[in-house]
Amino acid sequence: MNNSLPSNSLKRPEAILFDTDNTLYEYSPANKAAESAVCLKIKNLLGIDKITFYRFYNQAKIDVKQNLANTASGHSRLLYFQRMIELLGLKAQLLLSLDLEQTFWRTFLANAPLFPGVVDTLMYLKSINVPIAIVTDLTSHIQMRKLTYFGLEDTFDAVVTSEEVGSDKPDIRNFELVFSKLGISDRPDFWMVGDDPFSDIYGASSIGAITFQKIHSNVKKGTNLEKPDYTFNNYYQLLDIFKELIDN
Amino acid sequence: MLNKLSRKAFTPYGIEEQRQIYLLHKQPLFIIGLAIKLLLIISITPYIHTSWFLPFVFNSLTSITIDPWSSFIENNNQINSFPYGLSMLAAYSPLTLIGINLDKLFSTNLITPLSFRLTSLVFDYSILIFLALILKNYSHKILLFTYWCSPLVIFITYVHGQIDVVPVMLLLSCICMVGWNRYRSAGILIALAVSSKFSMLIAVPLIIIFIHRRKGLDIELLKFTLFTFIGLLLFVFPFIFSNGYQEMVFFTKEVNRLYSVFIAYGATLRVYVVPIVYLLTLYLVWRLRRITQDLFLIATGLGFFSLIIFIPPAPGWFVWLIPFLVYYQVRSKRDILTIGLLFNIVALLNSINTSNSNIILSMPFVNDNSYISNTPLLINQFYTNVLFTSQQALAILLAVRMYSYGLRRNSFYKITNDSFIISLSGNAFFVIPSLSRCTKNLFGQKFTTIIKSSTFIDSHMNPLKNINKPSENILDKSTSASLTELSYNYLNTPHSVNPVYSNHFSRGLRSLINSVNNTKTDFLILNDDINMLPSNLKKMLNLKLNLNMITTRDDFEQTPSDLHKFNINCFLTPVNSLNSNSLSSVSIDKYRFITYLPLGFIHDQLLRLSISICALKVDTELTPDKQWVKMIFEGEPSRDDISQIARSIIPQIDDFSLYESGWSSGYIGIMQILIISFISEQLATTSYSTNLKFVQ
Ligand SMILES: [Mg+2]
Repeated sequence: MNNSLPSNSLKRPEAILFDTDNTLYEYSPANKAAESAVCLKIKNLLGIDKITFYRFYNQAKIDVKQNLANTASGHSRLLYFQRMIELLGLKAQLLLSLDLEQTFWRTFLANAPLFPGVVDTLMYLKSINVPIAIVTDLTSHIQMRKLTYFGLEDTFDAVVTSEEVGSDKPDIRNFELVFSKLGISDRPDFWMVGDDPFSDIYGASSIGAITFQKIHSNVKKGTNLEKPDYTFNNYYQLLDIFKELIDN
Repeated sequence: MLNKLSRKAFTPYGIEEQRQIYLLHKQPLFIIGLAIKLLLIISITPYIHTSWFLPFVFNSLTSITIDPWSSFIENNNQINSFPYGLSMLAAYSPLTLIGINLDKLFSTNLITPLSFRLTSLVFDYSILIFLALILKNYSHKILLFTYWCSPLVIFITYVHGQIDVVPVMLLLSCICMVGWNRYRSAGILIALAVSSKFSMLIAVPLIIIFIHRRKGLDIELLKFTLFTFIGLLLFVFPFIFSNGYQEMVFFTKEVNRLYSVFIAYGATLRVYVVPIVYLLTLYLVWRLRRITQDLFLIATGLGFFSLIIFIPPAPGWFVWLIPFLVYYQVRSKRDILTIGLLFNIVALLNSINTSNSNIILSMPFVNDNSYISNTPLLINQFYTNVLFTSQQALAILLAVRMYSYGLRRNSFYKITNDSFIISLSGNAFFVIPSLSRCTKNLFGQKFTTIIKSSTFIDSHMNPLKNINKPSENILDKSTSASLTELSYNYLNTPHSVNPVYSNHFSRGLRSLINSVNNTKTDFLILNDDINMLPSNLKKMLNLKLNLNMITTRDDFEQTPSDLHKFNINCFLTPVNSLNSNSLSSVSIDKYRFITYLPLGFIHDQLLRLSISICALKVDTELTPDKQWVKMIFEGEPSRDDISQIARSIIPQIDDFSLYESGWSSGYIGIMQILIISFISEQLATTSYSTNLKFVQ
């Protein structure tokens, strides 16, 4: 935990925004489990081994991301799998792409438990009437499925995905859309909780947010322009910081 | 191939379990326990290490032969040194070997015993991890307090110096593998456990019964026994003919303890108590039709308890017992501070009092070691006896409490003295047969019987028809429909008018009841296609599922009035035209599935998971009387989706030992989830009510 600001200089925020992936839950174990479930399915259906799978899958990812740089669809697993099947020379196997996508997200969700304390933190913020919202990259359907799986489907006052805006964070329009959904001013006093130094921390602090970075394995603390105001390792710490800052 | 897919799709432990174990390490109790253990390892050399175990392991590692036991007797002429088998030697070899070489390098003699003691810590720690894996959901504090910080385990392992942590860890890993359906590994591991210490044989019959009750006489049991046998052949058999092995391992003085408690029958005859008590334990487990993991672990613990209670115990034996006691304590959240801790302390005092736990205090890297000989705490034999008596009394008390708790937790024990009867009724004739078949696959072919009620009425109503017609052949809808008509005709016909007709009908019902009563399998699916079971049969039904077609818009919108007659109410309705008449010709995928769930019963989770995991379209609404939640499903969940939802919704799903390949895709899968959830809930409330009875 680091405090770069004196706590008494802070105003009560008009809203607190949360990133989703790797912020509310740990992304990489879920993603890894999901990829290996797909890999296994491919192996059983098409007899393609692990090394070949990952070679084509990673190539497909690169291709899709190249065409759709910094957009929500650039993260679409459906497009990755469709492209991978094309790269494997199998023509358009739509049902297979859909099946793989479903396998991917089913396994992903089953391996994505919320970080402990997330619910307590959100409930605290609701109890003191601070508006909370989600600002996240990726397509709306799966992000809504995720929030439903977490049981957070009616917790937030607003949800914005980069699909709605057409461009991933740190594109400021993501934040602007959430402000208009919350019905608050264009440049409010807001706080941002996220994991990514560039899209979350830099993105939000560039329009004046107080930033909180969730640190866990493989998450590097941002530096320079990407330097967060606070870091936390678990949500109970964050809850304590919030309580201290807001009560003052 | 599909089978393979779904079996492997689930890793035996998920992200959540990994995180639980990670968090276990962060607990202050873990650090405290570890610190105490490390401190003891550094400062105390148990006497039995230096005088018994170390010379043997040293001899085996420095003069390598194929028969370390004979070689040791030749060199040292001591037969009590190492009454353990190959895997025990193997377990202690790697670290000790490193220690020996380091000692050579620095020309000391301190590192070898230190590395030997560190091995005990490795196994002690592994027991903790396997306990966590077997328990799945547990309170970190209770687990750490009862096992990791148990004074008894700490004393026996690190002060007295017993090395029973090795066989116990192997036994627990075997049990863990059985839980994960890894029967080959389980077989090898139990063979390793037995090879390290023969007393572990006690657990083998219990494990065999457990697998048999979970999976029947099938490939799983075969795999386990085969691999146990192969393991024993590899790790035990080669040494059987060695004199050294026979002397040191087979005929240890511990074997004689088995015969030390007996009832004298006259002057010469004796009845040995331990075999009788052990057989009794086996019988208690054997007579259960289904065994949950809870009961199995508690029963194994009871088996070990019976040894402790009826044999003058050797200190190491408490280590076998403690993990099972801990399992009971963590599960029940009882007897942790009171009897449990008291037993720990009394047994600890007893061990100090009655056994020779001499130790050598060793300051690290100082060659000035002082020998502390352990004198009995109590000189007076009477007080010694009182202490021993209180230990045994506490042991008996714990055993009784474990037993009563175990039986109550094993809800299957209560219901499956008779079959659990599931009746499937309703007019969706083209779905019900496949629902029965799929549910049978889920419970397991050999655990389930399907009875179609019309078969009995049919054969008695039409005496000229072939009576022995197999039930599977009359599943097609036309017969069912005509039979239903027939039974409704019967209902509408005054009995006095047609006595022959009525006579045949009631004879049919009687033979139906007989055949229900004679069913021996755990589950009975009664395909009730005559929709008019006699009331005494109705009373026997444990779960009533009704599945009807809805063909008109009115029926679709109105809440049916007879929902309370069934436990689960399901409806199918065509997606497009609600007034179509050719229902049965359309495939089930073109339908919407509707179910009314009692308010509060799983609908919230089912909604959430159907949307998030399977991306189904689901509508829910509360009925006007606010008693039911109407859920309307549209879409085609895959079998893996269904299985995933079931796992998330039903916490006790492992106790059913369901067949993963028996899950169905589509709406039948959803009905399977409803059935299992309902049974799970009913079992929970059943055990709750017996709970109350027990208290009174
Ligand atoms: Mg993120």
